[in-house]
Amino acid sequence: MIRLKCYIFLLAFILVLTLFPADIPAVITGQCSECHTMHNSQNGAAMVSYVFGAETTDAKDYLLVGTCLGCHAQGGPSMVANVNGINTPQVYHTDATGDLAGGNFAYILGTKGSGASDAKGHNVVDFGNLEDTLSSPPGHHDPDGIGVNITCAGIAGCHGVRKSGSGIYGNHHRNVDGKLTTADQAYNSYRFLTGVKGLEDADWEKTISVSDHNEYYGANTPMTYSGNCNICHNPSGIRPSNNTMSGFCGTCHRNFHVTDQIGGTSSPFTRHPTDVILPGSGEYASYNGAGNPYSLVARIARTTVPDVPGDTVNPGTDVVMCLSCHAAHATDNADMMRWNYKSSTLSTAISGCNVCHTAKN
Amino acid sequence: MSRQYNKYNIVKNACSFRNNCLKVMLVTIVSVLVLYAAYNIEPVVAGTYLNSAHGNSSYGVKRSAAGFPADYTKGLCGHCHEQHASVDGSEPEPIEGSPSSYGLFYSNYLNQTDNICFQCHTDISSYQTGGSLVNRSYSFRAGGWTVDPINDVMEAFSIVSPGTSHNLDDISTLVTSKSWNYTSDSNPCNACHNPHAAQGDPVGSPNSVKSSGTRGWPVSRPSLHSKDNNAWGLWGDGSGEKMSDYAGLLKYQAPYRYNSTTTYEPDGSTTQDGTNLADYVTFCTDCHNTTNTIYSTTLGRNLRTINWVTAKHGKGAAVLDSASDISPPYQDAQLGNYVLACTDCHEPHGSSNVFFIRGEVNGSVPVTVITEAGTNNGPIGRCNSEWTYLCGKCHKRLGASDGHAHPAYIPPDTGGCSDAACHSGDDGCIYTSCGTCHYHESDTVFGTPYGEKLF
Repeated sequence: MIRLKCYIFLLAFILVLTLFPADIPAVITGQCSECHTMHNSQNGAAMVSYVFGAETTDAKDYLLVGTCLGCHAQGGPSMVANVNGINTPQVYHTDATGDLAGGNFAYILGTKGSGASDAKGHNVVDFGNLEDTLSSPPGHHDPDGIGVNITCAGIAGCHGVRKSGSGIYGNHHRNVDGKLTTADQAYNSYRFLTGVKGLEDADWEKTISVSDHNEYYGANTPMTYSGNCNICHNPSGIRPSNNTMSGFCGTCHRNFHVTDQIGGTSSPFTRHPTDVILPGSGEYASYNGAGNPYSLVARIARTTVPDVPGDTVNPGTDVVMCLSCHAAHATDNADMMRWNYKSSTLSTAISGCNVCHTAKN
Repeated sequence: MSRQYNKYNIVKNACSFRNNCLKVMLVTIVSVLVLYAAYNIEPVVAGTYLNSAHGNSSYGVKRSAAGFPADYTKGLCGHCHEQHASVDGSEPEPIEGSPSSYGLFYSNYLNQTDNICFQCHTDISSYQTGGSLVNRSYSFRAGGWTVDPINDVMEAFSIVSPGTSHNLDDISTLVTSKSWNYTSDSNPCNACHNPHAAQGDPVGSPNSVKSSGTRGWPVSRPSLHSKDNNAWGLWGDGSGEKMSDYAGLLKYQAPYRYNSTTTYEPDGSTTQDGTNLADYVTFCTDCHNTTNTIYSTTLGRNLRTINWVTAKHGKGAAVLDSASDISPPYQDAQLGNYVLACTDCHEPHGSSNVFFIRGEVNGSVPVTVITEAGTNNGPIGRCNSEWTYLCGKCHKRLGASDGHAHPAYIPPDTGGCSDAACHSGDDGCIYTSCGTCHYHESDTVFGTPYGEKLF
């Protein structure tokens, strides 16, 4: 009888959960051993098997069987790899059919694309490639203490909790997929970018079209610094107080984002603005041509995270952001641009600019 | 047989080559279409910017500066606009220490000789690749006077007494007072030029004279100014925007080219009717009209207003009288029909003369006018008659030795030349310049109404 009650309770609980699918974290499922190893030893062999380059197979923190790059940067021929039975998005691969939304660090190392270049992406130190040009994040304030030793997660990274001693720990277990509008923890933030809202594409944009893509969150005004460190420095870690993707970039590239450094909140700007409304008049009204279809080259952010990806852009409402021009990880173009701004063919070089600046062609 | 075989092979190879070419073309076309569809890219069509002097891929803007990428292609936005005021973590030269408005690499406007434009438009230490950007005067380009020493825009705007330059501060004051969408952040050069549209004239050859095959259109009307490049187009390039259109049933007569009596401004062709000249009257009278009060810092007074509809040199009535004796290509019989363009006499930027009067007019030199009015001595060798250097390019017999067709009796004087206020001296050299009476909108002689327009 007790067992029956238990079954009924469990069934009811599951039914209740299914009534609120958006609130259900798409947590890691499967065997613990798919990601963890108790002793890093099985029949005398190391169980840590997902490492990158010179990384060792020594026991890892949290008993993991791999490292960030070991799982997500396998360098294989597919942009989504099977890691112990789990579809795992790849940030470093040679898939000729394309890249996931963030781009591909392989362009920096030259294992894909037109040749190695530090300028093609965020030169994550874990890849073992020295940054030869920069000494700190461009636009960052001093003292920063980051230098160019950026990594995947933690105090010097982008993902997870950006606080000393923290990182991605525990977030895969609690990960919330899809529409992220809470964004007060890493696990309920867009792509574990703590504090960032957005709509995650289910396959990280492996399949992509004007109606099948991520949606980014933006604001109609950038953050203002004015000596207020708290716009980024939170007791629980660094995060953008405005919850936007551009604000997130601004936590390292502050001068490229905050109103104090871009000339205010309206034209004339002194730096290309982010988190400002794409004007609904003039040349901007013709964003990407008739009907304003969403451009996968020069993207926009939404001031309200939508339920589903939008296939059109609304000049006068939608927002210019850092990812309008840049990809997050790396591209085959200088400065992580989404198009080849350094093309020797002028019309190609400005083709991305012309998506918004439609009369400058 | 061997020959047939070779021929067969040649044909076969040719077919194969042709087929391969077709395949390559098809694959290319399909690939491009797929890319456009996949990435939703609108094909880029060469528009206003790519056809402009700045945006041309062959001769457009290309900044050369320390810390600035050398591999940016010509015409790229980044040559003028720094998206983040930072390249590879540092601000490229010129370094001002803070980002500039509109993301420009230098302050949009500081003063008459210091602004973003002059960082490149100078023949010395230009940031344009090569370090020297030559831009010639109107007298050079349209007039064909190729010995004009003024060879860059910054130089033209740097001319001070006795020469003159279009005062950029005054321009700024005027255009920002109008509802033309200019603000205190605007560069007064943009009063006349749309930097995303302006073309070279001649196109791509700033150190050459114009020809009918190399024409471009450099100006846009200030009253039509808009930050929308679609809305603020060029002036003079379209139908209805030529001097012939302004003249209408009257007549625009192009001046001669320098040292020629067979070719004409502005392009050295035989066209004389203004169909190849922008309607500079409409363009200039956006500002210099009957209603705008324009203070001239240079003159220390308000500029004269201009009503070109009633002016004798404009559309106003001009009569054939005893003083009428004009030089070719103008004809006495056509007096009353002629409508002049502002650029027939004036440089747009500056010159070594007052009012930026051109150094060459109607095919000849010199034109040396350094005194607005009064009894100053004129240039050496042409005693007390410097304005006749200008007026004499079209009006004959302005000197005493020429018989002086000018009416001897001018109200209120009644005693003739020698005792009139005009020439009261006894050495024949007392100078009352043409400009004393014959200025824009004048209809008085020493304050006394003359009864008709005197210009």
